[in-house]
Amino acid sequence: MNKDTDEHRYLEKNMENLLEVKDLKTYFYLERGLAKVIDGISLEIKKGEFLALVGESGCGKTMFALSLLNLVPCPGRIVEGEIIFAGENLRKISAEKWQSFRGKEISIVFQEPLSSLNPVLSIGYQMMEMLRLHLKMDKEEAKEKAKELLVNVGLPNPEWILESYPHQLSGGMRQRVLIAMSLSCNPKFLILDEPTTALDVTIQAQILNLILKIKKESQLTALFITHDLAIVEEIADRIAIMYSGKIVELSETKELFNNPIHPYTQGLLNCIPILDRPRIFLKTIPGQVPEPLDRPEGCPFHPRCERKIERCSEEFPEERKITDTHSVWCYNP
Amino acid sequence: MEKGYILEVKDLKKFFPIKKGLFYKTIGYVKAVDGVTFSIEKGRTLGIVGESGSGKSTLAKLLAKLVEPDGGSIFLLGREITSLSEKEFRSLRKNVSIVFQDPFSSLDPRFTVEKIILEGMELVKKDKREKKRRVIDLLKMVGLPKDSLERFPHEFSGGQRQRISIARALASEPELVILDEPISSLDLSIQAQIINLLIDLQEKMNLTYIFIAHDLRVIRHLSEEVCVMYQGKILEQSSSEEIFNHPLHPYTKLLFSAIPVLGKKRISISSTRIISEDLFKEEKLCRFLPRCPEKKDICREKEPFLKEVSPGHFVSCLLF
Repeated sequence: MNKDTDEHRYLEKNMENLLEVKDLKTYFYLERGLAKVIDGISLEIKKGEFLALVGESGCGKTMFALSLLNLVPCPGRIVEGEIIFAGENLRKISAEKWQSFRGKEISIVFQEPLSSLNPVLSIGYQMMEMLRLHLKMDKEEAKEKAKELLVNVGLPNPEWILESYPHQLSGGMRQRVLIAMSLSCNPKFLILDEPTTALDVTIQAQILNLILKIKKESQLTALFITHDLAIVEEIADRIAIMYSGKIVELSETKELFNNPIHPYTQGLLNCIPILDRPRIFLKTIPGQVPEPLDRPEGCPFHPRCERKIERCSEEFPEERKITDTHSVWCYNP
Repeated sequence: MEKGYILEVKDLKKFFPIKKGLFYKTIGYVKAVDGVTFSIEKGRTLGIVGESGSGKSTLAKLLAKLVEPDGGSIFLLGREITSLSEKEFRSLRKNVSIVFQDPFSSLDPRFTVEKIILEGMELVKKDKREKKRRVIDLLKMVGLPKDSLERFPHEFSGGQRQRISIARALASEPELVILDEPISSLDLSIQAQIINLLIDLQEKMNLTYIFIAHDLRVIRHLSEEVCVMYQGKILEQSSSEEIFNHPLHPYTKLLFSAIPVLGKKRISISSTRIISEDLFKEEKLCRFLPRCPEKKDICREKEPFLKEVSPGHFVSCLLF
């Protein structure tokens, strides 16, 4: 469907990076100890690229998104690393600057559409607030723009939606409203944090189609966070697999599915039931995701890994390039 | 009752009143389960799929007699159970177990694992030592370490808690286990572990499963028979093989086209748009009509019913 655009995007290899994250570390200082939630992540996202960040719960993918927006909740904080966005170091900008930055330059769509909307304010008020604040529109202009945005995300009857309150809308409609809001100030960069996880399959498919449409029509750059590998296949240009605060494999999408290298990536792909072969024994990853407080030394995956060698428990491996667009962090790939 | 059926359900109904206003007057009903009929043979798995609000969890509770139906009948091992009182049902209770979706709220936080599993055996007549031995066996069966006995639910992860729930459900040696979205709150790598465990236990103990889920991939993997539910009604019912290869009802097709499958492109379903479906109140027509991409004039005239279009394949749609 979007094969041409994929190739087109990848032809322009010299495209500049919109976002560069260098060795980012976000730690939580808890009474019980130090939780290294993000433990040294380096990542680049090119202009116009859709990067998917895939991992299980507790691996730190949401904290990574919040770190990019400087919204890490207490007692956590970013202790090290650089975040360069469009040439600007985000770790050095002031709190006031952040006010005009969030929502305008970088915006985010959260997983739970009900809890990210204010229940006592109408949808119209919440949408227009953002437009008036960031784009300095007056009330009439903002209302027109809000209607246009709602139509763009496929919501019929925008007048009615602007006057209604979050509880009056269904889950899929709320998520569309949030996507419309996040796009309202033409952000350069959009973070989608599990935007379809709380939704039914048919609604999920509709939201994915909407995101695909936005991707095709605009030059938007996005970070798509999810735990479901199957849904990112057609959306993402590149995929980063995250485990316990670290990226373990990073690759161009097709390459990752055709040639997964890291034992964790292979395990994840094996876990998905295949429709044509019911009731076969699924190959599983033994054990469970470690708690952030007692992550093992070295490669965090080694206690569950079939191919571990001695070095795995000592030090986290260096990046190993398989191809230009495929890297893996593993001693024994 | 025909031989071999563990459970037969006929025209089961459960309506919840909607109350409103100063005097709390009933202004209407939510038809959570509206005339559901099916049966299941021993040792087989019936999958029930549906989106949220389709009534599948209410159905699970009805089958375990945790809520009383407003109509219809349930035959468990040949006995009609809806008319039985709680006391009369006791002797049959141990034949049905249920595993709930959320492993965090379905286990008592103040009970040790031993007590949780023992509770599942309350209706079983055995002496104490024998029961304890059975608890240890069950722990081994579901793959939990032996030292779990004295520990509390909060010390376990989601996947392990679901193993405890399964052990509790199996404690009374039931014939029928109702699994209400047992894996949807778990991580991908843990889901596969629980799926394997469920298949393994079924084969060892000749269990009968009713497996409720919204994830079609998992339904396809586990079940032999599939019911598709929508707003309290069964829209299509057939063997898993048949329904996945030849879905007939427009809703089933829509549902299947929405499954994310590796290596396969989803069929674009943007032609179907939801227009506040819950506002739809035309009761005498097909429930799926407002969302149906294939609707014809006949759909606005009468209500469809479940009819057999090929051996064992039932569809509730006027187009067939």
